[in-house]
Amino acid sequence: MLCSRLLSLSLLFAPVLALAHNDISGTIKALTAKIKAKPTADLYYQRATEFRALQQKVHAIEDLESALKIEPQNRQALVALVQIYGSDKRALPLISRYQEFAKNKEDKFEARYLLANYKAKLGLLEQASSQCDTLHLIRPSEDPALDLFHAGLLLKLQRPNEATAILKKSLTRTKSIVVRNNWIDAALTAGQTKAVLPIIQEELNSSRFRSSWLIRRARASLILKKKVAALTDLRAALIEIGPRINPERPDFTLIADRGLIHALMENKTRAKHDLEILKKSGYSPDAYRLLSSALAE
Amino acid sequence: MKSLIVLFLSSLVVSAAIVEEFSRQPYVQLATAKSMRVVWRTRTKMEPRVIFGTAVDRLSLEVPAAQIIVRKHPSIDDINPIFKDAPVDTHQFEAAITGLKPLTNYYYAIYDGDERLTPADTSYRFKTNPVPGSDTPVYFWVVGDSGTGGKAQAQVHTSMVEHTAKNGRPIDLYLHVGDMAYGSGTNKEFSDRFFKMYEPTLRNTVCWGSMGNHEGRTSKGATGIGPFYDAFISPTKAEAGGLPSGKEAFYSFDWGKVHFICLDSHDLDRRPTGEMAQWLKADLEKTKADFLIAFFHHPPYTKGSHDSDREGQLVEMREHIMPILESGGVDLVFTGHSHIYERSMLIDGAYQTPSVAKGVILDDGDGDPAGDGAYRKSEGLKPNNGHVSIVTGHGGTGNRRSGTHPLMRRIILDHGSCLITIADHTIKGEMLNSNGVIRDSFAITKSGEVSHTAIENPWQAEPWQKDQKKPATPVAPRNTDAIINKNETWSYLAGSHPSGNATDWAAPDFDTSDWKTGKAGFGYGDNDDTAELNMRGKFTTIYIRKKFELPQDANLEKLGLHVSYDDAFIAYLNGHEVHRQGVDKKQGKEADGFTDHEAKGFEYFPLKGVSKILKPGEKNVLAIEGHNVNIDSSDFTLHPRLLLKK
Repeated sequence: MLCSRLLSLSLLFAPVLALAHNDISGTIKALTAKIKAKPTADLYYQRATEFRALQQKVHAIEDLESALKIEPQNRQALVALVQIYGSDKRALPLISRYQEFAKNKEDKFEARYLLANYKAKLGLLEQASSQCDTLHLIRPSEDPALDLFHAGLLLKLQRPNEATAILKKSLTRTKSIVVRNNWIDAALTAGQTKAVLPIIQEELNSSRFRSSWLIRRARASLILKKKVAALTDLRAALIEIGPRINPERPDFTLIADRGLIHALMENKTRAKHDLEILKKSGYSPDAYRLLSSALAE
Repeated sequence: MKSLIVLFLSSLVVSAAIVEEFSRQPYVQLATAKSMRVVWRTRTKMEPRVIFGTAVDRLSLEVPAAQIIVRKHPSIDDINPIFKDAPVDTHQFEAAITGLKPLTNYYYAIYDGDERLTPADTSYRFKTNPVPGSDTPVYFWVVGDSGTGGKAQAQVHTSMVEHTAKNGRPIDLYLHVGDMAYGSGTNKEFSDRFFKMYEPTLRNTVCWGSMGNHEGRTSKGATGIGPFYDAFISPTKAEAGGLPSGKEAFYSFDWGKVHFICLDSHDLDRRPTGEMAQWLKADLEKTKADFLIAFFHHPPYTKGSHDSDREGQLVEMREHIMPILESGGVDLVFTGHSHIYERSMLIDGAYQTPSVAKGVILDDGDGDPAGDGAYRKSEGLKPNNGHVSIVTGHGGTGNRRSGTHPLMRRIILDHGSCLITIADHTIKGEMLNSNGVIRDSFAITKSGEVSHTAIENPWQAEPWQKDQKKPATPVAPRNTDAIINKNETWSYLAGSHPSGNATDWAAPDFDTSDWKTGKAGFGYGDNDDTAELNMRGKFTTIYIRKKFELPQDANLEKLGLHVSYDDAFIAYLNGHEVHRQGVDKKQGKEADGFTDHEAKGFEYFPLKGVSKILKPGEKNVLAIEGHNVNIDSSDFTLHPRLLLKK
């Protein structure tokens, strides 16, 4: 639950409080007047969230720092500031402060989850994963966000079997379709096909768009050394995916799929071309991790 | 069909019935082809029973006790931390009625033990969904940003109820795109500003909700905890179709051949790597529906009270989520947040920041079958074949515009909502304002194979500036005598309507002894009024009258009204209507079709053909009814002069 709380805060950019129906500029003006009259941590936090909505990071940081000067243990302001700092070293003392004042289970979980994220952003994947090991023990809810995050770290660490195990466990618990699909992908990365092939087959039979399932079946076929079957599936996936891609402004998740198809077909030039498109798009590398891995192989 | 209309009309008659035992009146949720949830709250414990059947006088089936979930505050073990801000001992009952037939009307009654609580009338009913994939027309209502609890919100609801009653076609379902309980979506705000407001509709029609930023102050999408999630029972396990999302914050459901997708644009990861986007992609791969409707709170395209070029959540929905929806073949996207009605042309691939029209508009017509013609798309869900984006954040709170979005075909500052019909191969959309007037119509016909090429230089709406110059104000002629001057004393009636027929009050001999007197101008809110009226949120119309004398030799064809007004008025001389400004039809309490107008000084309106009405040398009466375009308007002004050209 709390990793989700953290995630939600990190991506919130939400004009949370105040002055209900105003546009953002009007809300900022009204908050500024209130702050001038009587500044409080909450008012600064509110204005910071409005600045974040407008993507004015510098003003948001100033306000969150002001909030924490007034109330050093203001959780909302602290978490928001850690998120904005990202991998900046200024985040660490804030996380430590949070760990010190966190009293309840949820806050303790959130503080440690912030630390795991911070380590991951610094590329300290082992340390981040180790924090996750502890987080699993103190998780306050069934929300699968921690499982997805941890599995992602383990895959980057080339430990797909462990990622698969975590996701399998999570799937049993949550029944989430997202966890299931991530589990299938992790299992294939780990070279496991037996448990996932029946599901892939079922999805192929029942889906409108089949390309992502054709790719998964092709990956399984390659593991099972059935190259011809894999190529057949990959070609079919490519044919389906083509019309779904707007050439001028594509859905980049489909470019990632197309790149992966090319990589699995050993058409490295085209795969690299798609990888370049994705890199230029500003998408998170996590969105095309499978393509990057396939090319690296 | 006839019986359906009778049923519908009879339900309206009793729509005001409120049962005191309930702290939240019964409402229906999570409709499927085979099941329905009936939910209600009480202030204290009860012995809940739900009886139902297919005829209102033969409720022969009972929901097994095991299928009624009882939640209470405070909960004993705090496992379900629900409605913490509700009064202590609040109970919520959620009855799962199962084993139903598709597309069938059922009636229900709620009992406390042997005591029947709900009256035996036809409004306590629901209709199950059709079998997914079946070819059944659907008619639904879409509302956003309504949760003020004010009169504008009520008028928007009433106009839908009256419109659908007039047409004899009740809605099948209702989508709310968020901000249904200002300011923080607390339990009390939900009860007062959502449930009480929409109660007659909610007891028999499922509202599928998307969380807005105001509900997001107290409810969290990731955890599914908070008053929003207490109020709505949304599918997490694909109960109503689609793929299981595992979270009530985002979900899908099927209604016949239509696939609906609800997203949480407020507090979840909107990136393609996020759980929501991954689920969306998987869900779109799976659906085999013919029509695809998405709804969420933050608009990817708007220049209303919010700006989609500047605000993070809006930019992210456009850049990350819209490509997935469009490559999945989406037809309509409904959003709110921005307090305005904006409806796009047929567009595809508009993901840039800032938004531009070039290369993304596939059809720049108005989409109106009676105008440029319906938009055309291929049959089924063809990727990147165009969609129409609709900001419907005009459901009750103050509207605002900050510019002209380049993708928009219709931009309207008026309270209202959307009514959508999907039948055969066509989607028809209408924007119904709070006065019951259709302000926009469009359609999408999906047939055969249609290919589009983006239009090089598409139609564009006029640029908009905040203080845009209006057409020149009509100026009074020189050399006039003021028959009635500024700030003179008038009789006026505020807060009620005069007795008699619509225009009796304007007649010379009408008795105004119980009216007040005051100096013009009349109004509030913009510091230009002498008689300050407490109108806001209370009433929209005032009536003023003044007697005056005309010189014997007056040239009666040179009389003119010189008036400062906001928003509209109808003027009468000796009981005869002589001029109306900004009112489309009817008079008094039935006046309808108002146009916004800001008072920017006095404007002149010559009064033609009045010589037969007036009596020179005798007492005459000028009577004016002034109208505000909506009850929550920030200002109102009515300040008339009567001028006679020398």
